[in-house]
Amino acid sequence: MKTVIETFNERPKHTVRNVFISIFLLALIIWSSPVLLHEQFLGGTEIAKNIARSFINPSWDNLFNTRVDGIPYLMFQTVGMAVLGTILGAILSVPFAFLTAKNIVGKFNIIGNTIITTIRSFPFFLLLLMVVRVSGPGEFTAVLAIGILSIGMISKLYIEIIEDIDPGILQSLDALGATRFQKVRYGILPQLSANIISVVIYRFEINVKNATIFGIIGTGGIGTTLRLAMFAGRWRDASAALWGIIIVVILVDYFSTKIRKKLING
Amino acid sequence: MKTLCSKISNYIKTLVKRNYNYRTTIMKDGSSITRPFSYSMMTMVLTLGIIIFFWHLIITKFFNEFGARNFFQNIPNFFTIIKQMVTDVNWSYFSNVLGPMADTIRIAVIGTLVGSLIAIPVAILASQNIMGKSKIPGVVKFFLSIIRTLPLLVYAYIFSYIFGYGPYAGVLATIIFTFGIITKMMYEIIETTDMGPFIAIEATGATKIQAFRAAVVPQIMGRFYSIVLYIFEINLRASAILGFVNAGGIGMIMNDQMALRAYGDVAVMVLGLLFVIIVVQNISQYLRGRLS
Repeated sequence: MKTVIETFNERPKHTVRNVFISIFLLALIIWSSPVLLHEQFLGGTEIAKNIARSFINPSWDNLFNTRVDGIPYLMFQTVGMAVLGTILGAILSVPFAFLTAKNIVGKFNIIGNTIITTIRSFPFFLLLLMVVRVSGPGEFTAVLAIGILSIGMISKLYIEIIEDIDPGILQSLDALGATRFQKVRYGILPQLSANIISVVIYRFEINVKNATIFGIIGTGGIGTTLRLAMFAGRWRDASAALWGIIIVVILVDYFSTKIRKKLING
Repeated sequence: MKTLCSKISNYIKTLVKRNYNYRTTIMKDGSSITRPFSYSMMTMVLTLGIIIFFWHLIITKFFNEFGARNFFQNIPNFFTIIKQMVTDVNWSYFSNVLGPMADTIRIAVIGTLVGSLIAIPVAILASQNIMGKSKIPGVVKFFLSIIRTLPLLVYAYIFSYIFGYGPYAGVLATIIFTFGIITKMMYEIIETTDMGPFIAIEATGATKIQAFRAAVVPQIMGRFYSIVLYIFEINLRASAILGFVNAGGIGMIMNDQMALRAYGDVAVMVLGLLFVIIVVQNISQYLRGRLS
């Protein structure tokens, strides 16, 4: 009978593996350290002070007025870009998902998978710049870009939902003598709808953040205000925009989490 | 005004009553059954209203200002760009891509490593079950939730003003982003660990740090590594776009070549980026599979 200490000392130690991983990580760090080289940037500290000061005391006038250039209107606009873009993406993803789900197309899902992977790893501002050539810099461009970009993730999650469909229910509906339409209405839709809505709302959360980012690149909404204000050195206006982003994201997070919880728990 | 209010409230009352009658079925023996109220119709109307509101706010405005005709005439532009990317691939540009591409990977590596190292102590501070009844976790969680709201690119944009253009601003932004997201995932994991061993070891007279080291760390370490790998993938994708706000990486030259309409060069960059992302994704998926 061994004592506890003896058993403890005989535990697997993986010395070789750990040394190998440490060397690899060390090499990776040394190789990437040049990124941390940094020359003192003239005027940087002054700007940092200004940003910090105005973050505590943003332009209250901008934050609360109801004009077209006020933060509340821009917040609505940003959320609107996300809403419409998400709906567009949710609709566009349906054919992709059905043409890639394993229980529908079998082994031919390679084509769909390739397209979805490409969309997922395509650098998104490139796509935005391509869409700008079509519809000019504006909110509608952001809607189109968000819609196309959402296809990757939404259809991937759709596929998981579709592959989880319980065929037993369809068989029992068949036995009842249900028509094809009735089978879709009472056999498939109730299984899908809650999950699909929850996926779409989840993506909507991400898209609100994307909409602000697209604004920085120049498609209207709150991001563009932030960019222009910072470019002109109006730090208090920029801070108002930052607070606007924070408020929007917190509100959207709160409500979407609540709705999704309700959907999942029934 | 008063009559209008009472009229509206009366109308709502009749609506509610009518709906209640609609939901109620009277059985043959005189007893009645009431179905529960269904929110689906209300939700549908509300959703439709929201869509129409935003449609008016954005799309109607767009077609008024830009013109539907211009829009439909411009649609082929999109496919022309894709076509030029495929046909004019300019392989000689490849040597210019290597440097910025290395910068992109470096930003992701340093950002992920430093961010996740800072995240560990803060995650411990933010978990209620380790800290006992103290108020610190609530405060820490509040600040974390504010840090997490701002997207990575916004941080990079602000830092590019403070620290000047170049990868340094990108690294700082990536560190903050990584820190925020890993801390959240870690305190959620720590708060759901089995606290039995922790209490048992504390009872033997160990300090909190010793107990954490011996009881909680073995439970969470594997998941910590897999989270770090997952965030590394995200950071790699994100650091490719940092260049757009002049915060270093491949996005900087991509932006320039896009402005020059040199789509052949852009295609080379996209292919390089796709290659790197797919390689890293596969390695990290393999490692995460081994970890779990």
